[in-house]
Amino acid sequence: MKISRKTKHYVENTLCYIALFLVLIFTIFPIVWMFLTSIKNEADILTIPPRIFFNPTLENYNFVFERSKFFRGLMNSLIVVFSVIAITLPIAMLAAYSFARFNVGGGQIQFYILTVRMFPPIAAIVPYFIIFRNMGLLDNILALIILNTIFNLPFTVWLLYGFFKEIPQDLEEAAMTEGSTRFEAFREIIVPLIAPALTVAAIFTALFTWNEFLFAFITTRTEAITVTRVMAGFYTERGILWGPLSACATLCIVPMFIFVLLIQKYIVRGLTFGAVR
Amino acid sequence: MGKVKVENLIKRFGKKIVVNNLNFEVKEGEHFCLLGPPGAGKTTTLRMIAGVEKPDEGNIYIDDVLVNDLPPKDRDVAMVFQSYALYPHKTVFENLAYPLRKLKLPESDIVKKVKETAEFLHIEHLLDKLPKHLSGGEKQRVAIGRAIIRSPKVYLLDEPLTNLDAKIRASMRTELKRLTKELKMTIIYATPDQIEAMSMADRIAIMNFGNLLQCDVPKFLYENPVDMFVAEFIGNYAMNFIDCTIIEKNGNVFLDAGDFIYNVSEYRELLEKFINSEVILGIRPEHISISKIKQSEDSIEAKVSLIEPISHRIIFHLAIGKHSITVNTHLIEANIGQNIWITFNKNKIHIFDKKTENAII
Repeated sequence: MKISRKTKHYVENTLCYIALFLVLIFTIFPIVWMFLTSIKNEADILTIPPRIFFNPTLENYNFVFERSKFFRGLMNSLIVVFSVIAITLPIAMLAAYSFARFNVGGGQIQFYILTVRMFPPIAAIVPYFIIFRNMGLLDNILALIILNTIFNLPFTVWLLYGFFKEIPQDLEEAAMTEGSTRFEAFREIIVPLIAPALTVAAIFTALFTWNEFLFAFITTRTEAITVTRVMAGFYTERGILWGPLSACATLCIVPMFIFVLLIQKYIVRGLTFGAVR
Repeated sequence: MGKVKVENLIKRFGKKIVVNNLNFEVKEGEHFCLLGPPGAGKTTTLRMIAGVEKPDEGNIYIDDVLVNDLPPKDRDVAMVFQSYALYPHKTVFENLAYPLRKLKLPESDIVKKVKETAEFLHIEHLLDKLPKHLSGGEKQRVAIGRAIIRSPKVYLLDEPLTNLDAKIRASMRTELKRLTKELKMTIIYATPDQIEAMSMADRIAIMNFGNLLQCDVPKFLYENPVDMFVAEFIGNYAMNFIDCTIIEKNGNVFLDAGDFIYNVSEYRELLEKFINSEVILGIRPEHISISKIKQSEDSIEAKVSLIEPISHRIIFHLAIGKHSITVNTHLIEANIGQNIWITFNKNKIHIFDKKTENAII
């Protein structure tokens, strides 16, 4: 049987889309399920087999807004995320630049920094808990900012290091022979070029910090709780409150979803950095 | 305009010595060329003069001021990088304006100066473009423009023509020469291309493996190379080298190449202490003449093995026994396989010591 080229192309395309569709269902299903659960009443949630048609309700959202500390958690999470970005980026930028240009520490310090990522954070949480208790920082967002900064720095430094390596050294040397100090050359020539990379670094830091649960769970109680910690509050003595938990989780996704949509083009630009030169 | 003096300059990268005890002086308004193959230390030397690389030893003077510890911005030099180093996020206008903004000139002066420079280099139509939209030749002009827009004491040009294709390179070479003569610039110019060096420079310093081998005016280097490396590096067609032994026979001094002997009694005084030792005869392709009949006692018979016509000249590849020789001559009828006579211009021959490769004559 002879298959024409057009038919073959058509079949290939169809198979491709089917595969993509399956992957899409696989990844998007939990999120859809979560959203559906958030607008079901308790009886519908626990029905087996699950009902396809049900009466949507907003009572779970009401529960979240009125009977949990969702807004405090949201506020805290936002404060922590922006503080961590504000502290991490400048430090990481300068550190990565000095590694890339001056080989500070001959590669040793770079490796030590990376070792922070080599053990699970839970291994360090007990010492940190004791340190923060002694400093009186328990249930304080400062503790969360410090911990998240510490654990985000290595990755950010390594990410930016790669980008700095991509920028030809000639550029800043040209700026220096043309009358700039090294710092001016850095600020006027290098930083604008590294901007897409900084955006990528900011996004990763934001996502990691926003989704962070362990530190929040261990070091916060009531005042400094974050959104992830608020969610954990729905595991109560009288069982897991599936409806409010799903509603809260759905609300948690929204800010990051909007954030990523807004800066999507920068992500692509950052990830394809260097390929366009 | 300024002058530059480099004294006992040494630079090591790890254990490797990339610039070894360099000494030279560049006069005001001189076009000075650092010529050498890749890895000779030319770029490193320029970078040390610019101040973006620190020398390990030695001193650099610009206008008699020791500048070793001055940052690049205080040295008043301009450098054109091999990669052009145009700022990718700035337009051509802003690229050109960058050095002026550092001088804190008023905006109206900056605009005026950029316009003038752009006109001078014929790039005024490119001012609003970003570097990535320029061709190689255009980028190169912008890079040069950024250097000449202010008047530094010294211009450092690092292989500015290397990245261009052959056709543009030739025309840019002419243009660059016109530019440097018009602006009376003090230039230190690094290039691996001897044609560029020979055609543009007032003086050439030949470098290899970080060492300065010879430094003189182009004509002198061509006529009196100090060793085999310089002899081979300078000249459009590589010099012929023939292994010989110096012998004495009947009161005359000869070069014995096995397949022929060549009388060099004229140079007896210089060659006397090398009698019976191995030497290398060097003769440029353009210093050999070809004829169908034997012209003189010194003529040697050779067989044509290949002919390359190049416009009004012909490159003959000849064989004398096991030796092969290249001759660059005017048009002459000859066929492959034919035997012809060649005569060396005896005033132009070079003889090198085989052990040290240094020139004896």
